[in-house]
Amino acid sequence: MSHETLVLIARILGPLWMGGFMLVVLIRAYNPRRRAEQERIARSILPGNDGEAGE
Amino acid sequence: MAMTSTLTSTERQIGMALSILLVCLGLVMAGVAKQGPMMVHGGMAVALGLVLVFVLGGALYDQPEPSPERLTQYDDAPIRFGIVMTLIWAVAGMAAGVWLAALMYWPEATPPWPATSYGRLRPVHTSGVIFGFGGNALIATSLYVLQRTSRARLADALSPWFVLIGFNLFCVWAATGYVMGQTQSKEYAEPEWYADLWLVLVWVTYFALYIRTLARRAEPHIYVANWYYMAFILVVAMLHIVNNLAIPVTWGAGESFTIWSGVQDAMIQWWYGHNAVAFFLTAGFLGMLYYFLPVRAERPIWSYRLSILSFWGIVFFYMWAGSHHLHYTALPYWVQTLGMTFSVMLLVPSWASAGNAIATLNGAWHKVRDDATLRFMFVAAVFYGLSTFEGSFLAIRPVNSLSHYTDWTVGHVHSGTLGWVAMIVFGAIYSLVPKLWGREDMAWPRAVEWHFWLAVTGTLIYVVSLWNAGITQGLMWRAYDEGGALSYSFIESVEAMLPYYAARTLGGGLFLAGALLCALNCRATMCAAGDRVDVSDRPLVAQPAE
Repeated sequence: MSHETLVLIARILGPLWMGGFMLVVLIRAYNPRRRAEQERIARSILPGNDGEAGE
Repeated sequence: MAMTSTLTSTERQIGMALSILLVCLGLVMAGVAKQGPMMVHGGMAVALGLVLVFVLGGALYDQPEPSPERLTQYDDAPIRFGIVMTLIWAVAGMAAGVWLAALMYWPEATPPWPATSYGRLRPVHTSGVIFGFGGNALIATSLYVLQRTSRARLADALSPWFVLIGFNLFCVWAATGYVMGQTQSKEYAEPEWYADLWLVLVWVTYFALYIRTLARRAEPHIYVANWYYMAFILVVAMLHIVNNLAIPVTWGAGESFTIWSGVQDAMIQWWYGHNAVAFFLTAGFLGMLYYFLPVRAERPIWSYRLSILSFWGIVFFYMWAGSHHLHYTALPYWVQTLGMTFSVMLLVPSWASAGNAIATLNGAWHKVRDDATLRFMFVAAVFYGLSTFEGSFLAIRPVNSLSHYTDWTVGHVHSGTLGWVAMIVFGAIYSLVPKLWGREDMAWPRAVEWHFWLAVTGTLIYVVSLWNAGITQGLMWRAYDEGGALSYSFIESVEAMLPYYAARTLGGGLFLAGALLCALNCRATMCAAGDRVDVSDRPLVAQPAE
């Protein structure tokens, strides 16, 4: 396989892999069904919650 | 002693056995080397091992067993040690930096000994602040955040001590090695092969401790700060191992040859170098930001989902950006373009993190006004946004043709390290020290305010002067006269730098003064705590009485 072919494959597959992965992350992170859980996690570290309440 | 009082008899015995192994390792190193830095480093290992043997051995007879109740409390003793080491390295590393800055203005002041030459002291500054100051801060805060967000005690009592003491032995080996003239000639990876192997041992223990503690967590989730800390630990291990693959000249010498050669060596080095910025100087400190800023502001992070998106963006994009350090070199053009493209793309997750942090403060601006500790964190987020924008901009090839090899790059790096990294560390330190030493507040609250303004003023003077210096240098180097000859000699461009170098020394001096004030303030807070330290060790589960 020539160098040019390898570069061509990298140029096609690379962006697809990167873009695809970021799309999966985007869909999972912004899934509305996860919103309540994310809100709970974000608040879990605050004073008054169990994680810090002992302080 | 804090360390021994938290260890059981069995743990003290295991600690003694490990210390004896360290003595043996030091003896082998010194015996095989017979001379040079490796022998001195072997001697240091022997000395440290002997001290630990006596401390742990003495505790076996003199100190009672710790209360079984300790297992229901967070293990903060190693964190306290890590904070103290952070402060010591901050003052030492920054003092070296200010001294070197002064030498650039006044090179005649260089002492006549090889050990004090600019070339040997420069890595003492960089390693001192990056690994000594930044590394200890990252390890200490990561162990604190890990326990609080997981609501679990560290998986075992010995590993954190091994990690912290072992890491500091590496830092001391590195700094003293440079002074003795030992280097691999790889930027930010100067220590020789035996120090590198030692760091691998320390780092694997650190990673195992982190994973084991996470596995014991009482929370169903893993808070996002831990993701950043884990990325820091895991990727730094990978970078360190690959970039430091080397063949020793002999087993008895602290000298080696890298297995990489030519342009591959350059690419591996800057893949390492830029990802050291990404995963040592960014990911771990973002973990710090995502925990300490919301806790201090008493507000949840503005968008938790955005923090996840930024995390994966940073992890994926940074990996490919290193080649922008090699624009206009023998590196294939398309690899340079790849690095440039990913560097520009990096702006998206970087600004997402900076914006997320700043938006978290909406509704808490009165706290930013009144609380210098929170202001440190706010300024850190602002400088993170500024320096990442500048980084993406400087990676663009035509811009790089002006900026590369000039002091603009040094100004950019210090915008990140002083404005972002050091500010978030100081914010975390001022949050942690009173808590860890059982006090309501720092001993000198007004000094925190003074420190803040010294740090901000110092950073601005430093960064703005080097922006000017770098752009002036770049323009002078590319100026041609009508006949096509260079308009300025190189020495003329050096002479033009003198006012900027004086200003840079002043800026660095102000920043150092602030760090010194912080160290003294922390010392006063620790001393005032007295015997209350152990009382402050908080339980894992909320206690209504508190």
